[in-house]
This record gives sequence, C-alpha cells and structure tokens, in this order.
Amino acid sequence: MTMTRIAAAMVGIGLLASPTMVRAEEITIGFTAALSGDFAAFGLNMRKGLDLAVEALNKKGGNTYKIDAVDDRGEAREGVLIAQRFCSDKNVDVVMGYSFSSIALAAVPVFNECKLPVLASAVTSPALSNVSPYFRRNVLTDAVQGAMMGDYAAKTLGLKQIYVLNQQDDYGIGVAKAFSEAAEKDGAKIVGSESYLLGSKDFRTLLTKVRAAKPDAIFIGGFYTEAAKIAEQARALGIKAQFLSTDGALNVELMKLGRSAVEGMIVYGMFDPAVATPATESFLTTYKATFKEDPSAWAALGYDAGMALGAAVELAAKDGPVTRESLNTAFGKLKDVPGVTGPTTFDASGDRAGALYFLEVKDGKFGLAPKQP
Amino acid sequence: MDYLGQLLANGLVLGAIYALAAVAFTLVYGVVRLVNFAFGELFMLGAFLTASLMLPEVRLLGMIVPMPGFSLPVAALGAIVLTGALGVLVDRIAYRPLRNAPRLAPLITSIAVSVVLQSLAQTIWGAEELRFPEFHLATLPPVVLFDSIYLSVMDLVVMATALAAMLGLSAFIARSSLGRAMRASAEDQMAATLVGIPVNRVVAAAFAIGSGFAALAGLLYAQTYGFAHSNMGFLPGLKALTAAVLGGIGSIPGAALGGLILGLVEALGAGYLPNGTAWKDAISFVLLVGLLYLRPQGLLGKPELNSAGRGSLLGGASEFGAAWLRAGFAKVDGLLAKSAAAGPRAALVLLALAVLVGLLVPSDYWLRILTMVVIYGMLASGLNVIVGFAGLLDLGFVAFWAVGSYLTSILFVLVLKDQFGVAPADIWWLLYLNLPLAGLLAAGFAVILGTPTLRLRGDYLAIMTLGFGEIVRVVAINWMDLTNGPMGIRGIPAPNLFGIALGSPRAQFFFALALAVLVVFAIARLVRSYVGRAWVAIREDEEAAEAMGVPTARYKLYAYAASGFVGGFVGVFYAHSQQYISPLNFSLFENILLLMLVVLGGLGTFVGPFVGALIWIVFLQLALDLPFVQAYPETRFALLGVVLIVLMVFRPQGLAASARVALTMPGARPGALPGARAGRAKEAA
Amino acid sequence: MRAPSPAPLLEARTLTVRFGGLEAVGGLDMAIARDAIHGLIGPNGAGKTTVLNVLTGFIRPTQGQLVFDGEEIGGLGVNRLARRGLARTFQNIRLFGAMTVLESVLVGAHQRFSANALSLVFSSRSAREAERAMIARAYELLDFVGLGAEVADRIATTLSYGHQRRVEIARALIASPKLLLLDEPLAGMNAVEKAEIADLVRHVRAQGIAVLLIEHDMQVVRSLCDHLTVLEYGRKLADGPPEEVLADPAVQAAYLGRAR
Repeated sequence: MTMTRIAAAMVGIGLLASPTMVRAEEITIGFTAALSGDFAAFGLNMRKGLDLAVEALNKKGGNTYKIDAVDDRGEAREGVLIAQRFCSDKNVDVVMGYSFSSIALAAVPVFNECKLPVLASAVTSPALSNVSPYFRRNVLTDAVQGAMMGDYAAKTLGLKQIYVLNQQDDYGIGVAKAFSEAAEKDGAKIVGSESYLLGSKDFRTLLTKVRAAKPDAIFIGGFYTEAAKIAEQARALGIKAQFLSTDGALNVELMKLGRSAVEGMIVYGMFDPAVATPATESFLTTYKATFKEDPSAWAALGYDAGMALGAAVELAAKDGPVTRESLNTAFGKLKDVPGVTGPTTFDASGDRAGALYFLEVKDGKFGLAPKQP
Repeated sequence: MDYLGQLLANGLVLGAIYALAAVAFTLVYGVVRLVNFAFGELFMLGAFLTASLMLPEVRLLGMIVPMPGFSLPVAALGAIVLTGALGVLVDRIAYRPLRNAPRLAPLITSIAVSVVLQSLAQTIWGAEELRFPEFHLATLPPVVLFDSIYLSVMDLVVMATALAAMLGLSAFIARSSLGRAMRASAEDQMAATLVGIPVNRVVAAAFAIGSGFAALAGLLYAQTYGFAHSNMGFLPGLKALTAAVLGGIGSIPGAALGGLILGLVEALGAGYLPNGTAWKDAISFVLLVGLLYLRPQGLLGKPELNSAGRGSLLGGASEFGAAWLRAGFAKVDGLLAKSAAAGPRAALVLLALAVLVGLLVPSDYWLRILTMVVIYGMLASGLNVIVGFAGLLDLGFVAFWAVGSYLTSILFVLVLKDQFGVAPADIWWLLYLNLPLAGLLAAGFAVILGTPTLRLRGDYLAIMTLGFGEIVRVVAINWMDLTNGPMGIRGIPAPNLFGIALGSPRAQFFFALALAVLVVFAIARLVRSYVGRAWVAIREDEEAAEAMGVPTARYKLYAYAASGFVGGFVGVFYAHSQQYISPLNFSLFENILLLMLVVLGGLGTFVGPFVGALIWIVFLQLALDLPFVQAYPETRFALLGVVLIVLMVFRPQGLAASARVALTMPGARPGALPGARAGRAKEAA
Repeated sequence: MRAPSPAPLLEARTLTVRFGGLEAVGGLDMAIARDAIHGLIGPNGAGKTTVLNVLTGFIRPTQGQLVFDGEEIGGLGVNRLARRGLARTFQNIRLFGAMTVLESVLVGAHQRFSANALSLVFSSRSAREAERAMIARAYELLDFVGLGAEVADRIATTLSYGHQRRVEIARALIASPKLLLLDEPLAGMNAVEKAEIADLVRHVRAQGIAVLLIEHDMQVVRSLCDHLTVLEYGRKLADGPPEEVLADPAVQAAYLGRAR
C-alpha cells in the first residue's frame, strides 16, 4: 500500500514536471454492501458492474481507480463501523454500494460528519431522499417505482382486483404502499394485503388466504427469492392470477428458482439485458465475456455508478487535486452522464430521474413486456 | 370449508416433515442427552448434498464441478449416507471427548458445530439459494380433493416417505439388537457399559441414524419448497426441538405426534390469525413455552428428564491436551491467580491502562471497536451473573438488552420527537434517567420471564428461555406500532451532558468505560456477599442450599433481576451509541454470541466476560484484513466455532477461569487486604 | 435417672409416608427431648433417611403430625424449616463445590443476613458489620469442630473426608439451630475419627443443641446416645434408652436376622 503511494507520488511529481500538467490521481472507492448471507446477490452483482467500470476507467488512462470492498453482512451495526473505517482512512475518496436502505440510513450520519460522498446503487427507500448533502444514489426510489408499477397495473394492464403481498421491511412496505395508492387511484381494488418476513419459505397458508379472495393479480413487493416461491406455491394451489413484482425480483435467479411458475410474471427494472442498444452493447459483451452470465440491473447500476464517478472525478480534477469535498461538489454538477440505465443527473435531494422498463418472463428469460405504459 | 381443508392439508405436509425431523432429534437426545444445536445444519446438508448429486454440475467454492446427475431416490440415498457419516465424525471429534463433561460443554460445542457447518456450507455452495432440481414426479399435475384442496404428487410422496421412515425406525428400535442397545444406553449409560454394551459404538450408530434422518427431512423439505440454502436449517431445527419437546423428548412416537401437531397448529394459526403468516413462528414458540410450563415432560415423555446435573455449568479441567498445552495454561493460571490475589490494585492498574489507551489511540475506527468491546463485555457480565454464578442457562438474555434499547429509543424518538416534537437536545438528561429506569423495567421483565422457569432444570430451562427470547424478537418485529418493526428506530440522539456533545468516538469510549466501572462494581458488590454465596450455592447444589435456609426460588429470581438490570442498563447506552436499533440487533445469534464470550473468558469470574469480548471483537476486525476473509467473510464465524470446540475439549472452564472470585466482602476478614472494589481486569488493545 | 423432662423439642405423631403403593414409614410416634442425643437406628431400608427427609422438609408426610418447639411443621418447605432451627448434614457429604471452606460455612448462616441490594452495592456499615461478625463466628465454629483457621481458604472439596464432614457440621451449626440432624456422620471413618466426631457431637449437645443421629456403628451409638428409636420396615420396633433397646430380642433379631 505504502509503496504504491510512493510510486504514485513519484509519477505524479514526474508528470508535474512535464509540460502537459496532467495529474494522475489514485481514486479509492470504499465499496460496501451485503456480500455474504441471504441477499449477497445484490451486493455481489453491484460489485461486478463496478469492477467492469473500474476496469474501463483504468484502461482509459489518466487516473487509477481501485476498490476497497468490505462486507456489511446485512447488519446495521457493521454498517456504522464500516462507515467509520472508511471515514478514518484518508485514502478513501468515495463510498459506493449499499444493498439495504436500513444500513445506509444508519451509516449516513457518520458520513455526514466526516464529509465523505456516497453514491449508492441499490437502496430505494424514500427515507434516503434529502437525507444528507453527501448522499446520492443512481437507483430510483420505491415511491417512484412502486407508483409507476401501480399505474401500469391498473391503467395499462387493466387489472381490477389485486392482492398485495410484501416483505416486512422498509423496502417491501414502502413499495407496496406506493403501488397500492397508485393502483387505487387508477380504479383498481386492493382486495387484501399481507406481509411476510424476509427469508420465509412456506407461503402455502398465506396463499390459501389469497386464493379465497379470488384476485386477478398478485403484487409481490419483495425480492426474487420469495417472489419465486410465492409464484410456485400459488400455481400449485391452483391460483391463476397475474403476478407482478418489483426490481427486487429482476434477477436471472428468479427463473432458476421459480421455473415454469414465474412465466408471465411482470417486473420492472432500470436495465434489461435483452434490450440491446448501442449504448449497452459493449457493456453486455464485456460483462458476458468476463462473468459468463447476463448482467442484472444491479450490475448495470453498479457500472453506471462507476461511470458517474469517472465523470465526477474528471470534472473535479479540472480545479485541482481531487478531494472528498471537490468530488462531492462535482457529483452535484453532473449532467446526463451516459450509462446503460440511461443518462444520470442527480437532483438536489440526491435522487435521479429515470425511466423504468416493464419486463416479462417469457420462455425462461426476461423480455420487454408486450404492453409498455 | 375448503379453506379449512386446504389449511389442514398444508399442515399435514409440514407436519410430516417436522415429525421426521423431531424423531431424528429425539433419537440422539434420548441416547446421549445432547440437545444437538447442529441438527438444523445436518438437515441443510441433506438438502444440499441431494441437490448437488442430482445436478449435472454444480458450483463449489466458485468452481464448476461436474456431478453424477443421479435421480432423486439415488441422490437422496447418497446424501443420507454422507450426512450420517458426517454426524458420526462430528460426534467423534466434538462430542465424544465431552461425554462426561459438565452440562454446558456439549451444548456450547453443538452450537459451535452448527456455526462451523453453516459457514462451511456458505463458503462451499455460496451465499445464494440453490434451486432443487426437478424430479419427474413433481411435474405431474396436482391432486385435487373435493374440488378445492390441492396437494401435489410430491406432497403425497413426502408424507408417505416420512411415515415409512418413522415406522421403520420404530420397528428397528423395538426389535433389533442395536435398537435394544440404544434403549439400554438411553436408560443408563453406566449400566449399559457394565453389561458389555459398546456404548461408544451405539452412540455412533445413534448419531449415524439421527443424522441420516435429519438429512432425509432436509431433502424432503427442500423438495417441497424447491430450494436449498445455507441457513435453511435454523428455524426447522428449532421447530424440530419444539416438536420433540412437545411430544416428550426421548420418546419417538411422541416426537412424531409433536411434529404433526406443530405442523397443524402453524398452518391453522397462520390461516386464521390476522396477519397470521408474520406471527407464525411466534405460535410455535408460545406453544413451546406454554408446554414447558404446564407439562415439561411433554405429551408422552417421562417426568424424570426434568433434572439437571449439579455444579458449575462448565467447571473443572479437561482430561485432554498435550503436555505443552497444559503447561501453557498452567502458566496463565499462575499469572491470573497472582493478579487475582493482588486484587484491587491490579484492577486499578488495568483501569488506568484502559484510560490511557482511550486517550492515546488516534483512530476513531479503533475507538469505536473498543467501545463495542466494552459494551459486549458489560452485557456478557450481566449474562455471567445468571449463567456463571447462579448456574441458570439463560438463552433469552438478549430480550432484557432489547427492552432497555427500545425503552429509550421509543421515548426519545417515537414518543417525544415524533409525537410531541421535542428536540432531543432539550431532554438530554432523559438518557441518564433512562439508564436506571430501563434497568428496573428489564429487571421486572426478567422476573416475569424467570418465574415460569423456576420448576425447570438444565436443558429445559435453556429451551424455555430460548423460547421467550424468540417470542420477544418476533413481537418486536411485528408490533409495528410500538417498535417500528423490522425498520427499526433511527435518529436516536448521541449522549449529551449539559450541552456538551458526547457523540465522538473518544467520548463514547470513556462513557462506556465509566458505565462498565459502575456495572462491574455493582456486580462485584452483589456477588461478594451473602447473595453471591447463595447464588453459587444454588448452582452447586440446590437442595443443600435449601437445607441451609436459602429460599432458592426467590434467589433465582434475584439472579434474573440482576442480569436483567444489567441488560436493560447497557441497552440504553447501546441505543444512544449506535443511534439506530432494529430487532435484528437482538437475535438468537447475539445471545449465543454473548454466551460464547462468557464461556471463552471464563464463567463466574469478573474478568472473563471482558477477556472474551476483547478477543472476539478484535479478532473480527483484524481478520477483515486477510484477503481470504474478504472473499469469504463467513469463515470468521467458522473460525470462532472451531476455537470454541477446541476450548471445550481442552479448556472448558474458559481462558481466565483461575481468576477466581472470592465470595466474601472485601475487608470483612480478620486482618484482611485493604478494602476496595473487587477486581476487574481488562487488557489494552 | 433423669428428672422428668420438659416438653419434647420435636414430636412425630403417627407419621406415615407412602410413595405410590409403598409405605416407607408407617405410623411412627417419636419424641426427641431438648438437648438429647437421640439415635435413629435400624437395618438398611428401614426408612431412617426417609424420616430425616420428612423432618427437614425434603419429603411431605402422607399422614400424621410433626410438632417442633410447640409448632406444627408438617408440610413446610425445606428452607422454612431450616430457618425454624432444623439443620442437617447429608449421607454423602454435600459441600458446595468451587467454594472455599469459609464460604461454604457462611452459606449455612444465610438466614442471618438481611442487607438489601442497595446496602450491598453501597457497602453500608451495617452490611459490612454483619459480614464481619458472621465471618468471625465462622472461624469460631471451625475451631469448635477441630479445624484450624488455615483451612478457611481451601476449596472445601479438596479436604480429606473426615475434615469435610467437620466442615459440614460447622456449616449446619453456624445459624444456631435448635436441632441438628446428622445422617450417618461416621460413615467411612476409622475408629479414631469416629471417636473424635462422637466427642464433637457431645460438645454440640453441651451447647444446648439437640441432636438426632442416624448411625450404624452400635458401639458408638451405645455410648453416645441418650435415647434410641429403632425402625424396621418403616415401623417403630423399639424406643428407649440404649441399654434397654439394644438388649431387646426383637431388635437383635432385626439386625441379625434370627431370634437369639
């Protein structure tokens, strides 16, 4: 570590002496998310996307980027400690990642105090909007996404009787609430709602209740693990309703776990591997070649976050050496950074605007749903 | 009617699996009197092994490994055999050396084995779920009864298999000579040895069969719900325990009955209670606790199983260990005994050292870590009062901690800030009031929880307290209006004194240190008096204590109250230090962790809890710098498990055990050492 | 001949103990005089320890009355009886493991301590005084039973068998009981030790404490006890001074298995 710094400094000095005056910075990204435990998938995928971005940025030359990854194990207590660790480490310039809103919320006060900018990619709780001038995210909030799905379900798909299921935490409750409100406003009827604990395996009895209410659609506000099981157990009970779910279900594992039961399930996401545009083409090929699988939305968001960071660093570097403060200011000034989930601009509350794709599971793969809003 | 019918059908399928699991659990308990906490992991491994053998290839340790791709029955057989062998291996390494050890040792070891197996599974198969491969029978359309009750073909297969397995086992136990030998060993191991039964081999056979059955239950469960996952065994393990206790632990038909009843109760409860699915698990625990209170021997069990050994839960030296190891421990013991003799002076020196560390350590990060050490040390000290001194294995201590944290958080945030708009800075003094208040509330709570446990002993006491702890956790998760549920309570203000903010890591460390001094001081005063003597007497020989005039029931409640007070007291500081709490902070794992810390350091000493806390938390952080740990973070827990197993075999009394606490008041001896506080030792980081 | 004795310290009237269908003690009438050394003897399985357990509250009487110092005590719990002045030792010595001799003995005085939690935490003067006083008394008792102060800090279970027995007796005496019940105190001892313990019992009686003693060694019983009650199959076979009782042919038959 020390040797690299000395080497970098020497290179820096050497370059300073040269007429081009290009400063090569080493940007250290403190990456933290749940990398072990039940929901490691989100964090691991974000990391993969970020790795690709870092590789691309490093190849571009100029600044070097490295990632210091720490697992928060999905525990808020760890999150706070890790935040402190990053704060205390003078090399860390920016923090990225975060799988769970509750952990991000616990860590934010620490970052606020040490003025370290955060760019999160998977935390969607509305409570994180406007929470700190140092916190931003490139993923849409649940309030926005849930409402979009509610509109889609009632208006575009014309569903009338919807049963709402949600996981019992920030995420599930928030997205279910946004969905229900939007759907009801558009004329659909919520015939029932129940919550389940994250990690539940057995939904038979819950679904027996659902069956009795005879809904034409079931909205599952939760992660792919439960969405797959709910779908399977529902079909086994003879329930024929349309399944709707969230970006938490947008994961290739959904089909592996749910098999034929999830056919026809509609979810939303900020990225679809099937939609190959020129912007996403190279990302897709590189990702597939490196990781031998299709990228998920989380990987895409991780990648875009990396790209946004690259843009911010370049912007900040124009005014001198890149510091935490200058990087934070640069983030605020970014406009339409190109990325695979669309252009990224951060608003004053730290959120970004964006569009959602509605994706349907067809023949074991995600594809654009036939009806889009 | 079709609603009820479907619920009953659901309950029967679940019940069949629980029954099978409970039977496996009770078989081992009956023969070895061991509550095998690792049971859930054997269950889990059965699922993983079967799935792996059925797939054409599987990802192990990050690499794709080709697999035979057997059909379900063949793969199942392979998994059962392999898991059975693993069970025998675990017994040989971890349980057999502790056959004659005090009660707590095999329990701790089984918990440690559970942690190791779970971490290993996660390392090998990954953290994500593994889809259970489809068996051709599963693709058949569901069977529909009465036009509305849906049962899949595999459900029927699962029920039939479970039934066949249980009947087969009963016949085996009743008729075969090995079965007879098992029953004899279950009755009286000593007598069985004397008549020539090779008890060790019989025990190994029991483990083989029990583990094999656990694997069978696990793979049937995985087949029913469609997946395998490294932590899938935890709750089913507890349910198997509940079902076994329900039916009467040690009784095989009882376990089957218990499993069936549990499955039906869960299905019906979830189906008829409002928001029943979320409360489902609480139902099993309420059933467990109620049953232990009213009829500890369960439906078909024998009353004499409600008895405990006498004496410290973990006492005495181990019989094992190479000469150099013993010599090493002897040196450590000598040193500790000397420092214990130096008494209060040593304590003051160490306190000064801690203060110095707090002043000189520059890194905020390390200060936060050390604050954690102090917090965990205090909590472990509280647990030590009831487990170490009074000898009551309380696995629900974490509930008292939670009461303290939630009291202060609810008051500060949910009530005063959200409802009345009072800024935390204006009521900074409430924190100091909350400290003793929460202590008293938690103490009261502890007495309420402790009262039904009074007539229980040993393992039953542990299980009942575990049930209570879990009920409290489920309530905290689901009673959203009171606790904000899984989202927890945020924005708890940092401590403040007359306007001086004490939120910085350094200030918090000193605050924690000050509280620790108070806590240890109070505990020491209580223990070094007739109260402490009464507690240790109860632990060592309850009947003799009674004969000496000690009202043991009352004093047990005092022990609950004292440990509860500490839990609540520390909980207040914890909340203000973390500034965010959620029910996940107070899980069973935390309780187990605290127990392990106390065991690690040494039960029944003042030093022990802090030694344990220091070692664990520092290790946890240092390990993060190893790249292997960064890639596989769960291996830290596997390592803790291994350390504990090694400790149980070679040094069950804990590392600092010889820092023995004198149970007389300092200064009350004729010509005694100068009176001062009792010692508390803490090493600098 | 002794002067007509005052009311007995302990009286059992038609005391019966049944376990399921088995009668362990049947219709026992027994009176223990104040400051007597009363022996309870009989062949193995006669029910002697059961009687002791009933007297100390470990077993509830099925029928009958128990009167101690003028008060009914049948059915009271173990620790209540201890606090009324009934102290005992056990057949297999039950000292507290992991406790020193001093600490073990002090547990015997539990009922004499009354400081509440706050006084203990703040180390009030009265709490310290009480502890000091009781520790001093413990040392006196160690002396009384023939052990020196140097054993005070040894872990009780590391002492020799004979010494452990003495510690147990000290523990029983420290709360100044009115009646000391000894369950086979001489078991496993040689002749010298037996004589020493017998002397100790005499000293205890000299302090005004009555003693009820279960024993098998007839020589010691003969010389030590003032009064004997003999049990066989749970029923009283004989009752009276030792010379009388031990000459009774029925008693001899019970022990030897045939009439002489």
